Formats: sequence, C-alpha cells, structure tokens
Amino acid sequence: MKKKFLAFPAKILALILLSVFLMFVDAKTDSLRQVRSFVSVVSLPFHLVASSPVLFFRWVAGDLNNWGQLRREHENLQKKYLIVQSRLQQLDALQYENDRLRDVISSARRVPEEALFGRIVEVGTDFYEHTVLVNRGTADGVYVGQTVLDPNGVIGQIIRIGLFQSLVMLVTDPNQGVPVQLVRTGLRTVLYGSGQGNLLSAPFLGRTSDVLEGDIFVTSGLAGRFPAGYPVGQVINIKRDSNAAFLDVIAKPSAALGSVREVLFIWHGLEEQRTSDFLEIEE
Amino acid sequence: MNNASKHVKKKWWIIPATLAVAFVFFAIPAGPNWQNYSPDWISLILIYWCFAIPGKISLGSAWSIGLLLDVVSFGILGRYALSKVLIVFLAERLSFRVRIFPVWQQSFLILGLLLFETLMVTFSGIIGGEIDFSAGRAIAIVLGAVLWFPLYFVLRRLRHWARLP
Repeated sequence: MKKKFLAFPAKILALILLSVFLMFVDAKTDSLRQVRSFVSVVSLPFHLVASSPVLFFRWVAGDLNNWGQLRREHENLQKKYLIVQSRLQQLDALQYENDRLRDVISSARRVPEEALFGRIVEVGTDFYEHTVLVNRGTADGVYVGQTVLDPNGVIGQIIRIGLFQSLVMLVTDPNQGVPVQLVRTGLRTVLYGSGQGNLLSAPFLGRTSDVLEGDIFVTSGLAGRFPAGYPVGQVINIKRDSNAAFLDVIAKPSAALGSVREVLFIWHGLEEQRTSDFLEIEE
Repeated sequence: MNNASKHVKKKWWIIPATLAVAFVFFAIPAGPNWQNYSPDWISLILIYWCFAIPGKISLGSAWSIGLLLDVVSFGILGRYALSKVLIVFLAERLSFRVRIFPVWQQSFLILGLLLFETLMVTFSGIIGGEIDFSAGRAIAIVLGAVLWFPLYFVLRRLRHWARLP
C-alpha cells in the first residue's frame, strides 16, 4: 500500500490555494472564458447521455398519441395560426404608421430585429442559480448578454458561453434586473427575480405609484441590454404598507419558464440614439 | 493475499466507470420550476473509493474531477475543485476508522461530509457574489446520506467483480 499520507498537508494546501485563486480569477476577470468554452466541449457527451432518457421518453410518449388527440391538436393549431396571421397583418400596418410618425418627430427608426431559434438542453446546472442551458454557442454567433425569449416573453440573457452551448440566466434570478415599463402608464422601473418560487419583484416602486394587479411589464430598452417592447411579467400581488417607502410588488413571469422548450435569440440594433434625438427636438 | 490473485486480471477501469456514471447523474435534467433534490453522486462515489481503496484516488485527480464539474455546471471555476479535494482528503483520513463502523452508522459520517461540502460550495459562492442556498440542497444532503446504504453494497459488489482489493 502506498504511503502517501505524509505528503498530504503540503499538497492539499497547494491545491486549496490554487482553487481559491482560480475562483477569484474567474469571478473578477473574464480571462478564463476561452478556457471554459474549450473544456465545455468535453461535457457535451455527458449532457447528451443525461438528457437522452428524457428525450427518449418524450419521443415515445409523443408517438403514443392517438389519432383523435392529434387531430384536435391540428385543428387547434390551425385556428391559432389564422389568428396569428391576422394580427401579423395589423402589425405590418402599425409598423408603417410607426415609421411615419417617427419620421414626423425626426426620430430614428426602429431597427428590425433578427432572431435565431434554439432549444433548451434540459440539463440541471448549478443548484444555486436560476439558469438553463441552451444549444447555441459561439459557433452559432450568439454572444454574452444576448436576450433570450420564448413565445410569451423574455426568458433571460446569456451569461456564459461555450462553443455549442451557453448558459442563460433566467429573469427569476435574484441577481438579475430587467429594465421594464408598465404598459398601461409608461412607468419605468426594474424587475428582479424575487428569490422565492419563480416570481419576480419590482422593489423600486414608491408608495404612491400607480400600479394595479394585472398590469403588464414590458422591457423598456433602457441600458441597451434587452430590446424594448417584450413582455416580462404580470403583476399578481401588491402589498401597500403605509410604513414602507416602497411597495412590495410581486409579478409572474410572462414566459412559461416551467414548460418552455424552444427559445429565440434576439439581435437588436442600437436604439439608444432614439431617446437623445427625441430630446433635441424642442429647440 | 494468496498467489492466485497475481494471475487474476484486475479491472481498474471500474473506478473511472463509476465516476462517469455519477457524472451523468450529476447532469440529469432539472426543470426550472422543480428543485434539484438529486444528491451529489460524484461525492458519494469518490468517498466510497477512498474508503475502500485508500490512496487510489489521488488529490490531483479529485481536483481535476472537481474542475470538470465546475466547467460542466458553468459555475465559478475552482468551486467544486476545492470541495472535491477536501472531501477526498477527509475521506482518506477517515478511511481506517470507518472500517469498524456498520454501514448505517457510516451514513451519519456521510451526512457530515456532504453537509461540509455543501457549506463549502455555498461559501465559495460568496466570492462570486452569489448566495442562494435552497431547501432542495438540504434535502439532497439527507438523501445522499440515506442512499449511502444501498450504494455501499452496490459498489462493493462491483469492486468484488472487478477483483480490486
């Protein structure tokens, strides 16, 4: 039997220090990002193996649908498609009107946004963060900070990126704030993850703010991170405490975070020019 | 050992094989709405091999495994590396004393080790500014200790099959 025990104290001390050093470097700087993205390719086979039972189960379950169910689903989808088509036509008209109005006030036009489809690789990542792994990486052109949506609203933004996969931080993460705007009144604030359940909270609304349950928050586009106009959450509870300076507003995310599979990655043009142009008009 | 053991081919690959399986378990799907109650299989299996064959799992390999976990979990590099190294170190230290304990008492030891590791990982999260200790992790620790019982026997069976000491 090998007698390595006496060598332990020095070696373990070195490894402990090395680990702590690594943590500091990775937390405070970005230099390890390249290393991480290369090494993450190694983890791909494990992710594939881990998610294959789930994928297989879903495939099998999907194939076991009977005809009646499939037909009903087909009819439903057709109806939805027709509704979506008609609203799209409205969208074109609104877009045109919007462009003309912006021309009138000499403001820059909205830049059309490009989108890329992706899928959530259903792998449990860190236990402590509200994150999901998606199957797009630097090879697909996505970038850190990019906004990710589902058909109903904003899911989050990319915080770490690998070659073929990247990590998305959900809007429900307490560390992330999304600049938003109330649809009804235009009130601007920030939505943070509330850290409980999968809810959002708006901690900066003053006691006398005009907020009602059912109000919808959309991205305001400020700070340039998230493009404007996408739904983020809907208010479900407001606590007005006359002793507190701020309201306790709880919102439910618009995106179906529990069941989302397909996601969209959005590229948006720089629209910050817009606000500054607008301010110059009044001369 | 008798002379026959020299002619018996030992399947040392069973150790990395069990770790690979644990790795897959580590990466198992957990939906955003559903807490991940899955215990840290990698720790459990590392601890078993440390108890069973002390000295086989080197500190360096424990560190590298931890590092790989860090990359896979997209966490801060070094977090799991540190915790796995400490786990292996402690397990090696305890490996002699643990032999006299019955398996169910070992579970308590495992509970302590897993608790220690989770605390380590949580505190290292502070360096990165992320502090979020969910109840799911506490349940995962208890689950890990409970699972030690069957796991011990399964791995022991595998160890005998692989003709390892």
